[in-house]
Formats: sequence, C-alpha cells, structure tokens
Amino acid sequence: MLRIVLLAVVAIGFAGLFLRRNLIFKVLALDIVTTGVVSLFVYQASTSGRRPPIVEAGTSLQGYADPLPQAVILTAIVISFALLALLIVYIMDISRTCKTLEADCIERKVQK
Amino acid sequence: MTVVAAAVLFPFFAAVTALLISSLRSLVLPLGLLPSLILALADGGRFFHGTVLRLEGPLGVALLPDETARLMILLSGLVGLGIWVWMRRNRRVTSRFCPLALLLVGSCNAVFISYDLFNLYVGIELVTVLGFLLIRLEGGARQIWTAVKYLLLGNLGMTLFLLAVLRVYTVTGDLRLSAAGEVTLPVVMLLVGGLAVKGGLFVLGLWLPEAHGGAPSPVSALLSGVVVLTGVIPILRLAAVCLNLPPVVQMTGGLSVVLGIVLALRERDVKRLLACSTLSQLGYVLLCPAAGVYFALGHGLVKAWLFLAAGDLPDKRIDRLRSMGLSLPDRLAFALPCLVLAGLPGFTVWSAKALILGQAGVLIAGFVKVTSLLTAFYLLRPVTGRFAWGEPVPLRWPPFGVLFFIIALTTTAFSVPSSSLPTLMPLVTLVIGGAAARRMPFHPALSVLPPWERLDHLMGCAVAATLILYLTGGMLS
Repeated sequence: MLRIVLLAVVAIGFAGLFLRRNLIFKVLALDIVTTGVVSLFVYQASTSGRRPPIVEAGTSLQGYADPLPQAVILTAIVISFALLALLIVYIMDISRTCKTLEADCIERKVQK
Repeated sequence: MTVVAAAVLFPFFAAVTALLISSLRSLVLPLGLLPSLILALADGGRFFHGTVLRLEGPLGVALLPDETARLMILLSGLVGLGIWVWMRRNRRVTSRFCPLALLLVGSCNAVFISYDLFNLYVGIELVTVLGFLLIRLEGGARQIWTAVKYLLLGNLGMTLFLLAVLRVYTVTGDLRLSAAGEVTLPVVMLLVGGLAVKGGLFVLGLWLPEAHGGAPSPVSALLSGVVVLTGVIPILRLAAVCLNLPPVVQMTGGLSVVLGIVLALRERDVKRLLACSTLSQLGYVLLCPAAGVYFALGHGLVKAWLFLAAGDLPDKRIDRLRSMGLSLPDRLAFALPCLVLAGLPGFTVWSAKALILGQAGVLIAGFVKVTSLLTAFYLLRPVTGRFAWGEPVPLRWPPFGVLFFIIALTTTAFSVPSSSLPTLMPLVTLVIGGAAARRMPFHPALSVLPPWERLDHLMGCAVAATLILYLTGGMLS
C-alpha cells in the first residue's frame, strides 16, 4: 500500500515537471520526484523490520531494518539537495536578466 | 587495488590543493592527470586485470579495472592534456577552468572504473554538476539557460536510473552491476534509459547540440570527448552482463547514428554541427558493443581536437565559412580532424571502424559504410567552400596542440586488435564525401532553436523514450 502511495508521489512529481510552466515549480516538482524515490528506498529498507539497524552482540537479527538502502540513499539526498541549491541560484540569475520565470518566455528571450 | 584507486582519486586531491593555492591553478591540469595517464599507458595487465575488486569488505563499492576502464582513463587523460596544450598556445588557460576540468576528469575516471550501480549514480551526478559549472563558465544568459537545461535533463535521467537501481536491489540484494543480469529486462531497460539521457543517445540526447555547441570550445571538447561516455560505457558494461540487451542497444545505436546525421544536415553553426555528429558517432559505439570501446577512444580524441579546431575558425556559421574564402592553413586545420573522424587510414577511428566491420554482420557493415560516407559529407561542408586566390599564404608548421592529437591518435591506432585494415575503401569514401560536400549547394535551416530543443520537449522526449524502452523490454522478455 505504502509503496503505491510513494510511486504516486513520483508520478505526481513527473506530472508537475511537465505541466507547470514556472521554473521554480518545475524545480520543486523535480524535488518531489527525488523525495519519492528516496522514500521508496527507505520503505524498501523497512520491509525486513522497523527497528533501527544497530545490533548488539548476541541478539538475533530478526526485525531490524536493512541498513544498506538507508546508507546509500543518504548520498542521494545530499546530491539532490546540492542540485536544488545550484538550480535555484542560477534560475534566480536568469530571472534577473529575463524578468520572467516562465520556461517558454526565457527560451524566446535568450535566443535574441 | 590501492594503486588504481589512488590514480583515480589523485585528480580530486590535486584540484582541491590548487583551489587552496592559487599559483598552482593553471598548471594543475597536466600535473593532476599524469599519475592516471602513466598508469594507463605503462600497465601491462598488472593493475587493469579485469577482475572485480571490492573496497572495504563484502558490502563495499565494487570496482572493475579492466581493458575498457584502462582505455577510457587513457582517453580522459589524453583529452585533458590535449586541451591544456591547446589552451596554452592560445594563452587561454584560466585559473578557473583548470581545477574544475581536473575534477571533471577525475569523476569521469571514477565512473569508468566503477562496477557498482549506486556508485555509478553518484559519479554521474558529480559529472553533471561539474559539467554544468563548466558550461556556464563564460557567457551570458543563453549559456546559463543551456546549463540549467543540462542539469535538469541530467537529473531527470539519473532519477529514472535510481528507480531501476532500487528494483535491482529489491530483487537481488546486491548493488553490483552484474546483478542487473538477474533482473527482468524492463528494469534493465530503465537503467539503460537513464544512462542514455546522460550519454546523449537517440532522442534522449537531443539536449546535446545546444549544450555542447553553446559551451566554450575547450569545455565542449571535454564534454563531447569524455563526459558523454560516462553514460555510454555503463551501457556497454550492462550489454555484456544482460543476455537480451545487445539487440536493443544495437537498435538504439543505429537510430542514434541516423538521427545525428539528419540533425547535422540541417545545422548552420559549426559547433552545433560537431555536437550533432557526437550524437551520431556515439551510435557506432553501441552498434557493436564488443568493439565499441575502441571506437569511443578514437572518437573522443578526434572530437576534442575538432572542437578545439572549430574554436580557431574565423567564423562559426557554415554558410559564411563557405562563402568567405578560407585560407589554406585554416582550411587544413579543420579538415584534417574531420577526415580523421570520417575514417582516414592510420588513425584510431579508422582501425576501430575496421574492427566493427570485422565483427558485425553484413547488414551492420553496409550501414556503417553508408553512414561513414554521409559523415564525411556533412563534416567537410564548412571547409569546402569558395577558394580565395589572392596572396599565397605560407603553410605553417602545425602547432603543438595539433601534433599532440596526431601522435595520440596514430599511436593508439595500432593497439586496436583489428584483423584486417582496409585502406582503399576508406579513402574512396572520403574522396566521394569531400567531392559531394564541395559540389552540393548548402541550404541551412534558420538559426532559431528548433522546437524539439525546448525544455519541455527535451524532458518529454527523454521520459517517453525511456517508457518505450521499458515497454519494449516487457515485450521481449
């Protein structure tokens, strides 16, 4: 069930990426897609159990979350944050010269 | 293992040092590239032995230092060095370019040697960010907009890739690239789709002409020569692992070749023409996955050379170049790398093409021959225009940058394990292509950006093509 909800989040993000004209909303939609994918990784980690994967010696391994997806996805979170920051800075720069945030308008103006 | 990892990591170390110590900045590019270059040249199967290594235990990042990785590290080092030599002559070495370019080459090397799906994702995202920063290094709003489009597209592709990586991990519990052989074909197709956006293949790579054509020439050289391969080489590795994949990959490659030629025929700007030809030539790499890496090596070197030569041309518009009466040295400086790319005997592209022809069937061989002719035709059009019969210009001794690329291409040419090396057929192709370029009238399209290169269409094409790949995978399995 949760997996379907998360896939729906990814799909909504894609829809926003295509349907929104405003660049800021496009970037936010891209962030929603990434967040959806990250959540899917976290969900995948929790299928084997929900206890935080800090195992003490001598206990059984039942019921712990899978540490590997959690560990790798941390990198993806950092990367997507960095990309978001870069994109927003440069979109700000463009909007200052073009006086608009609409993708089509910018496309026409920078060609001149 | 430590030696290989150190050679890959040294560029990062050198670049960061140079960012801290400003007097090092313009020299850091050749210094930082030397260790990996020496390792790739001097290695006799000792370090690049082709067995999977794991950093730090059974869950660590997997590396595969094999012949493919060696050739690609050699390519990135040579291209970086060639660009530096070229910029040195033109006195265009800037302290901002060198550390960034070195970081970019370092992350490309990390992608080439990586055998771990998640590590590939990290490496390719790093490449995207650095490419973004380099594209917008010089220039105004247009460059920034191109760079933003590049970043959005690259990120979109890698998000699709990440979805597929999750699927691979769920099914196999492993993140090594070989795990992709155990999942169903649609998931592999999703991986390929994400990588193809980055690699600039078929309609997924329509962003390529604007990004590579709009960047400063040395940056275009790096992007077209090395960076696109960070998407293509993992596809080759996947094709070696997944049994059903090669036919689809070959099909995509063939379509990419044709699309690139069609786009190139209507192009008016020299640098955009070269970027279209990158889109087309990368198709050859996929046409014969087993021999592709040699072609990628040859193409990367020539394409870097071509972009640098295009930066020295007096004008960027093909119709102007054809009518202005170029001097002979200018003409030769651009025509020579064009001929090499179209398959002039004695250079790497020629011997790699011979290898492809030797391994492929009749159908693919015929396709390669016809498209080579068209390649010679569209590449030579800028420099086969009106001759100016005025003052005879003395032929100069070729500058150091040109010699560097000639030596690099001739020395690597004969390391390609090709059984037969035809010389007559490529020469005939070049002569016919050149004559056609001279005779045929040139009617370029208008200089406005074609509609399919708007942001929405680019993203739409990329996602739609990935979906089609996904569904094709479903039908084939």
